[in-house]
Amino acid sequence: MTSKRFLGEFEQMVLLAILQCGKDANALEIRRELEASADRSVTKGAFYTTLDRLEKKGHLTWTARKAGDSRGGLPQRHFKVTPQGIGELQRAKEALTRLWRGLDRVLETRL
Amino acid sequence: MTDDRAPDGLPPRRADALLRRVLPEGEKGRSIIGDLHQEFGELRRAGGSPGPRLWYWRNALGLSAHYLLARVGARIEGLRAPGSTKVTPTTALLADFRFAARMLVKTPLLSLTAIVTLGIGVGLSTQTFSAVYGSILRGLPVPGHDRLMALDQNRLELDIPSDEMSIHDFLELRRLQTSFEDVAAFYQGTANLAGDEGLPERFAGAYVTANALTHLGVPPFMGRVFLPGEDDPDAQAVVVLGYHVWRDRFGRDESIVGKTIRVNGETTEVVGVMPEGFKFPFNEDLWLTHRMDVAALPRGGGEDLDVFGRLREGVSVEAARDELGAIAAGLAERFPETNTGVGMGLQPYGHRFMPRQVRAVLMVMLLSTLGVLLIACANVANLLLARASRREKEVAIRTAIGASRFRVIRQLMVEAMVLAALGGSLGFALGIWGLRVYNSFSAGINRPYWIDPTMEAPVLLFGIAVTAIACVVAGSVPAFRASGVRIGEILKDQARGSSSLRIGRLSTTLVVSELAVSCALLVGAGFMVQSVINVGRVELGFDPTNVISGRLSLFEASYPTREDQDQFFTSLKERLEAEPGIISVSLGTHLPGLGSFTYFLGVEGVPYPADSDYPTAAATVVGEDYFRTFNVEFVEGRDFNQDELRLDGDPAVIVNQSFARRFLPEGRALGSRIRRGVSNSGEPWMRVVGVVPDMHVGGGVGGLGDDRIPPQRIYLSKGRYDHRGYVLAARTQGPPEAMAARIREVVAELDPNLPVYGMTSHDEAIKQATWAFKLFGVQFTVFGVLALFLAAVGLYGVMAFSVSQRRREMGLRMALGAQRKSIVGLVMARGAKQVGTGMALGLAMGAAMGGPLSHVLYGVETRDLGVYLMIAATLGLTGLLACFFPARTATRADPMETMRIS
Repeated sequence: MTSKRFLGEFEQMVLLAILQCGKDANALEIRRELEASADRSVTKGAFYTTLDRLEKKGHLTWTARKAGDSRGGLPQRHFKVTPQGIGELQRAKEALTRLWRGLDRVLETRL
Repeated sequence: MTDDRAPDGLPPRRADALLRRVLPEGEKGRSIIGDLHQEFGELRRAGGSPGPRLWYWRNALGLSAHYLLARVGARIEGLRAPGSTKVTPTTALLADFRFAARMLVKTPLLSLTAIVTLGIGVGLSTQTFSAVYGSILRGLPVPGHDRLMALDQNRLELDIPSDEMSIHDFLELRRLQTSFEDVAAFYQGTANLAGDEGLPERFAGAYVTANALTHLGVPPFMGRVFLPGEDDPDAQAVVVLGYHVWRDRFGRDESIVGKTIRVNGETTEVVGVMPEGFKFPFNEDLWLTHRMDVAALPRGGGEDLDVFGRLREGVSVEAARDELGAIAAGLAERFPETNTGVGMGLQPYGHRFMPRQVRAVLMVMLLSTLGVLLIACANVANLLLARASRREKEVAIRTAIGASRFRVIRQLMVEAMVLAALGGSLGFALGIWGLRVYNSFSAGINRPYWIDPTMEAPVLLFGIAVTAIACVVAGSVPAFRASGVRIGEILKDQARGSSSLRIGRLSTTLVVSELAVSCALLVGAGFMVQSVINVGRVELGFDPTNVISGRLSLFEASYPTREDQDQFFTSLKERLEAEPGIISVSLGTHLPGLGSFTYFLGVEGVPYPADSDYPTAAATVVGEDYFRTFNVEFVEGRDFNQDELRLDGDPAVIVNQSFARRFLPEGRALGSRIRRGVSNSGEPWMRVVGVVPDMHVGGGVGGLGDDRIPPQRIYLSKGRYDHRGYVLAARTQGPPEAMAARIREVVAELDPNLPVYGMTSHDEAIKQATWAFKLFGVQFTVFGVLALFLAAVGLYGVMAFSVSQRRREMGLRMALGAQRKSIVGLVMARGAKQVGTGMALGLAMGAAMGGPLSHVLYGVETRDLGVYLMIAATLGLTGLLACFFPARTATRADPMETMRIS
């Protein structure tokens, strides 16, 4: 049954932010993209544990590279959304689009 | 927090260390830390506020908490069978824990109060227990330490409960006794090391019988301990070094054993090095054999010895005491001149160096902290009771849908457990911090080597036990109460607003006991604070400013005759007084305010029916200008003259005013004659040549018991007494510390092998001598203030809760025309009754505590009403304030609103 579960909202936002950053997206860029686009602050704990969860589910991969002195010689990870992750995003989007169908006017009037 | 400072521009090291522990291992974790470093660098460059370090800590803690919670969550998930929804005992318990955690977060203020309260209680008692354990319970680190006894003699008729033993009596005891595996003896002294290995240096040394170290059973780190016969008078001098002397002075010389060094001017062979930390009998640096030609000594002569021995397995202390009594009686029969009236006794070795007063205070301190813990438990119980009563409906529904009483109790106990675990953890952290403070306070004290309070296994166990008990005490009362509620009544109507839990009387009892315990602790604290004030105000009777002092001890090998010694001291005084900046110099066996000998004395012409009727007085042997150095003017008469300072000069003595008033004929003190000893004394009669004002005697351990040392004191002339060790005191024109180096140089010019040790200003020395008051005063004040705080919080909590429960009643009263004043009065009256009852009980308990505490008080009368009145006023005021705020809230009840709800 788990495979039928949809991605959580924050998980979707993280995957989308990775895609927005393009190739070689690192954690700092992804988080800044998230904060800028979604206009919300993101706690580091929630962010990194979500990255871990998405990795465990097979939706993203990363490679670590050596980085400069500004990081005290510590490595930097670069993230990539896997084809499976892209598939999950598409599935979520389709489901949402289906649900949105015909509702635009209703919502506009409510506003 | 000393090494948290990373080099400029780098994040705090401790935060990084925390992250490294908590984050996933490998590149993943390291890259996250790298991200933080990068942002930290950017923040620094931007110069944003709050400071980048604070930012870093906040983020590191947040990240750690997240990862820790994720880990715990994963564990819990792992315990559950995959896909199972069946309720097993484990899953039910886990559910209870999850629910408890949610409750914790849901009522953050209550949770925080409970955690901090328990933390204070557990922290204080753990810290105090570690001090008690390290000082009294753990004992010496030697095999069979619980059977190691200190043996002594006593002269009960003369009111001397414990005295050292002559070598003759020791040898007889060793020959005759059967209760001990062996008995050995020592005396404490100092030893001067001089040689190619470094500058002359003085060490604390024990002069021991050859069997002493073997009997203790601690194997040497290197080489061997003493062999039988090495304490014979003509044996070659041998020394065993302490580990730190070997390490610091001899640079860990692996080939030290077998080498010869110079000890007290004599060529001595190093035969061994003891392991690190071994400093028996007190705090020694090295060990020498006590080589004594016993046959050549008159009976009772020679150095007095401290004797110790380990009881044989199965021999009780009482049996050993009986045997010692019999041996003493036998000796008295055989040697009536020296041993009549001399008994023998024993006590655990640790007690020999830990005065009864200090042990009593430590135990009172432990009891006091347990009192604080009790208060903390009562508070938490009350908080939980209050919470439970707000959750009556929840409990009732649970019961209605089938939860057993056990299930409900378990849920509430798990909640208490979570609080206790968090409170206990905080308590441990507080305890470790408190221990650090305690140790830094007592760091300068020359204490026995085995007294070293640390957070060791038994202390941790104690802390865990205390936390568990706190959990049971604080959790069970509310749990049992809440689980016994009558379901029907609650479900019928919650809106009545009065709790059906009969918590009123229970809460009141808890609060009254809290108030009583805190009042008793405050009385204790009041006495201690009064003592500290008294110590600070003590009338010294001399001027300790601008005096520097240091100790000197001449060696027999270098100064064999009295003439040699006198010549050295005379030229030292002359040379020092010629120094610019030094006004006068004197020698004495003790400095004013820092102890004295105590002698029996007889006044010529006064009949004393028995030896025990002879008076005692503090006595100090002094040289020329002792009084001038301390700016003390003679009341009558004069200082010793040159003739009286000579070995064979006129026997003379100087007395203080208390002595003259108490023992000498009024107005005729000068010219009276007194003599040391009792009826059989062979000492010469000494003529009183001067009367000086009283100078504070002092000399109790840490200043304890100083106020019970009788003020009568005499000063004996240095000429008549054979001492090679003296305290040198010099009055200076400017700051005394500035002269320390010059004094050392002058001594070195006279004798390059002679060290001056313990050099300090007299002001500082007196301050150090009263460490116990500082330490215990601070501790008791902390207990008292915390107890008061906790009791006030408890009272406030209960009153606030009771007011919130009676809101409707108050509203009704006001609707019916009650004045605000009378509402406040109503609530306050109830509070005042509790405060009054608690206070009465507490004052009685405090008065009972006065007995054991009186050992450590300074100039305080425990029946002094002033302290009790002050405490009563403080507690009364605090208590009434704690009631006032809830009372004021009660008057804000809106009559219309309350009526509407009804």
